[in-house]
Amino acid sequence: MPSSLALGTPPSPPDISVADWREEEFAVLNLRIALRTNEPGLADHLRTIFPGQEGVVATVPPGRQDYVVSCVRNQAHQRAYQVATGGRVVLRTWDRDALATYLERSICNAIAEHLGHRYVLIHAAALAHGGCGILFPGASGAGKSLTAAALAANGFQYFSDEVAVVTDDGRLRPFPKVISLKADGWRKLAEAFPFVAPAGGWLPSGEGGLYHLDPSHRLRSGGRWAGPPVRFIIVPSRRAGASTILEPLPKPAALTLLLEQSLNLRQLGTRAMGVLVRLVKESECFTLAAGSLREAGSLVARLTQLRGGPGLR
Amino acid sequence: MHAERLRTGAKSGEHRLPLRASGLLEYGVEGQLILCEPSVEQVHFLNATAAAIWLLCDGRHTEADIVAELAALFNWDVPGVESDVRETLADFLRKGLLRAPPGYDA
Repeated sequence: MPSSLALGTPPSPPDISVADWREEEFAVLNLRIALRTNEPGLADHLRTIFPGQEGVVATVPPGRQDYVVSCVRNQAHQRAYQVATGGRVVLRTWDRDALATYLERSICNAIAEHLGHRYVLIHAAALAHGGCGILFPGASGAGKSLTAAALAANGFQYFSDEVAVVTDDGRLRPFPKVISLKADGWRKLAEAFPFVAPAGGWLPSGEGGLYHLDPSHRLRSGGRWAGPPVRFIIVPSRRAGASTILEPLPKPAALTLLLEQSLNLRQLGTRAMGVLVRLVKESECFTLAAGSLREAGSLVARLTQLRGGPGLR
Repeated sequence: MHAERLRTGAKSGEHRLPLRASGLLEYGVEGQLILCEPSVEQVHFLNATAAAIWLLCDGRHTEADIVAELAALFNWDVPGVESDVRETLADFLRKGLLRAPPGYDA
């Protein structure tokens, strides 16, 4: 089971010893992140990806910094970047896309670690429709983010595209990050939903970068708000060009997958185990082979409306 | 070691009293029994037959009793059930799901 999200392999290049940086702070939930950088627009870009939660920021004591990351650009080699956290250089790269992706994953992990003391975290997309929470668990590359983007474009409430946050009583909480899509996924989304526009100040320059989508239905209430109970667990898979099929999945198989994709099972122990079992017991479980994004969205919408019905085609 | 002893013939273990390991958490999910160690390092999924054997491992039923109970429960022939029970108990022992029953090391 993954303990954190993959950060990728840091490329080599230059050692940057001198940089004229300034510090910018932003708060996500009640986690205060300090970014020390000399790169224009980077802090605003990260603020867009990790929007603050209204009404919660004020609870962070002044001066407290939970996660400090420095990202500096070499003054001599204008395209060389160096990232450090905890006093240790963790990435040196020439690639702006690699830098942005690394920072995003790194902050994502910091937020997950922060939330993981209190909530059960699952490597899954999470959305809601008609008062029913829906989990889309799966390993990286399974199509979680694209499924989340397609459903958000269909009017579903968005909670997360990567880390599902679940309370002990089986309810969803929002993970404060917008949807991230690789170039290929973004192209498919834009083909199916031409009205979508990328969020964030930094657009990727190559295939390796990430596009971002800020769902209009994203929940901003944060803090004390209790979300809908999880009622569906749907395992997505990509089947480009094929039929879009939703089929029942045995609950033990769904539990096995949740155990594999739990991000803090060992940390929370039997408490997390109990929550995962509860989720499976209280949910209907399916696999979704998504040949068409639009079909997948309408199929899942029908499923939530016809709750308790048999597998749909 | 115990698993090896359990495999030493159909009759050798019939008077033993298999006993479930303590401290395991049990969950029932759609016809399967799920056993979880407190450390959550290992999670075991038992189908209906294995679950029935597990539940009969109460320190009061001998292996022969378990065979008889299972045969009656599922309407199976006793000879066919014996080897299944023996193999399942050996598997339970290997996975630490059983305690060594009294007299096991005698």
